[in-house]
Amino acid sequence: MQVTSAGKSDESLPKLIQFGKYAWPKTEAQQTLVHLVEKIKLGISFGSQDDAIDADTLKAVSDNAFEIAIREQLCAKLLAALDQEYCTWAKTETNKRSQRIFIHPPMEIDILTEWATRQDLPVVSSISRFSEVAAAPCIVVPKLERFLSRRQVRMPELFDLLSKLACYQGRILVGCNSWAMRFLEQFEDIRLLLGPGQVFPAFGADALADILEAAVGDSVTLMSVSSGDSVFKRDDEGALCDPFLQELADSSLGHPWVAIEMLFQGLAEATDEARATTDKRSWVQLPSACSLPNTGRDAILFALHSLLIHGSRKIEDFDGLVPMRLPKGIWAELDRNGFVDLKDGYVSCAIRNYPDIRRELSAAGFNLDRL
Amino acid sequence: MEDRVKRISNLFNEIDGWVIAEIMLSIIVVWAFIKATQKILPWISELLPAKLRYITLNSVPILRVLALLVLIIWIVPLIFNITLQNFVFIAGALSVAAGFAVKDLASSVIAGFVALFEKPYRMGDWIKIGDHYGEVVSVGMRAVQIRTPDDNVVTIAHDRIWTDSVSNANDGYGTLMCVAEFHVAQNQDVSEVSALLKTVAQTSPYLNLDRKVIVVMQNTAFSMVYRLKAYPFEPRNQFAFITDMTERGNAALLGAGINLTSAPEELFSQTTGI
Repeated sequence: MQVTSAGKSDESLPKLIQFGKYAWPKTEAQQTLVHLVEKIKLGISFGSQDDAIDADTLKAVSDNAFEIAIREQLCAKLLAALDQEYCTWAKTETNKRSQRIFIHPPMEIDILTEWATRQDLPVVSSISRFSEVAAAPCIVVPKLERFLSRRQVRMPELFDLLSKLACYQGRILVGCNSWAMRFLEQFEDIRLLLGPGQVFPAFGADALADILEAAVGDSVTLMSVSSGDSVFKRDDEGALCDPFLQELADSSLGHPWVAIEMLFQGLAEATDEARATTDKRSWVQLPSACSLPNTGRDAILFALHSLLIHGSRKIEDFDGLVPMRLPKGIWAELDRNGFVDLKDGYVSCAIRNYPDIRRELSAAGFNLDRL
Repeated sequence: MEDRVKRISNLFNEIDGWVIAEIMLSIIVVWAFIKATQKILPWISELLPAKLRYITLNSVPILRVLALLVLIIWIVPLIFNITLQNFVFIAGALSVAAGFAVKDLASSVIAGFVALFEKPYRMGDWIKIGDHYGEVVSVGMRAVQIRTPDDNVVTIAHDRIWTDSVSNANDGYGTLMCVAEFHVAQNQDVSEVSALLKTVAQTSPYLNLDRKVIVVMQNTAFSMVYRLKAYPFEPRNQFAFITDMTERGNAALLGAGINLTSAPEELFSQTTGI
């Protein structure tokens, strides 16, 4: 997607692309090598590079209004992309059976449910719900991974749902996590039943700038800690001058919801002593890469891989999903290290550190997701 | 006599203190380089996925041979007065010495050199030579070292490649086939058992999703033998993977009311080679 400036709504609207055509910012080998170098650097403990601003004059901030504005802006963009791809198709009055699958990397928000609700389309959130909506001309099955449990005894439940989908005479839009899809791809039934999928495109620096500029407007100026310049500064040809947003796009693997969480994590403002009353500047820098704890590393990797495939689940659900007994406190330790979020007995992937998790799994040889 | 002494003395250059110092220095530099590659590259490879690990590990013996070649090219002109006549003389003398005194060593070194290019095994491969199966942990000038599943390191001279067959389970690739065997009573639903076992492998967390899962079956006199064949994403997980498939496969078969058989071991010997 090419975006040159904010406000050009039609041009800046991301379009879904065909599954398998995602343009990763870096190849898998590059990502692994970068990760390796970062790990070596961490081990050797290099001195910090020269930044344009002294880190001692900054303090980390968490600005709820700022975060909400950006999240809403991003959500609007993603929903508009779904509108563009599926709205006409979903509303077409035809008796012909048709199915589409939308594949996405782990996200905090359930974007497809949000979209279906706005479009007033029935959502299948459980197998029992299927019979209630069977007469509808178009149904949405978000989070297919919710019906999946990677255990031989639980697979019939998924196949039962697929049988129901196969018999359904209408339009079906299925949403599926890319990691679950990677697992499900080995079953021919899935590929034949759901056909080719669509994914969000990779968001580059311009696309991120477009979202951020539209969200924050003139209220805040985002400054790069390393260069000291505004991250939105453009040259005469409209290209971004500061490399921060490109680095952010690369680090977040092109996933904008990951990028904004990384941005929030590295957000800072001048300390009270160094700050003028009229200062509207906020400072941003890329968060440093995280490394997994070394204790119980094998179990941690299997647990994280399982978490990505199954999505947010109750902690006890993971006991039968990994090939070994999970050490007590493993999730609490991962929560402390910022790899997962624990809430009300549920564990979910910490989106801000998703690229680190993916790199760690890649380095350990696990099957990665595809887009 | 004088003529013979003169000819031999012509073989060598004049060796003074500086030449000795240069020879020592070159040996130390090459030795340090070889040791550094032997330590650093395997360490780096452990941080990499299987695919890149093999490339990194395989560069260790190649770099060692290159370093030794550099050392030879560096040192030989310092010691010897290289002419065609002298070369033939030295080569002949070395051949005779090697032929009589150290023929086994020479055979192993030459086999090691051949193995470097023919690649019957590489660092990180899982190989079987004779009765020994394990992961190649070192490819030296004279011998290859493998670490067996029981954590023993076995040293095998390279010249075994002249006489023995070498079985390589992954041949430089990042995965290898694992097989779990199930003995099921006859007159059971074959397609049900086959589908059930396939799902067992497909739901294993160790599975390499890029490779197909296969179930092969064979009739024997006392049972139907099912061999569940699949690939783990990491060769080092092979035993855990086989254990996982066996454990869950047996549980799944019993859970589905399928009878397993048990018979004396010798009765199943004919099932090998499916």
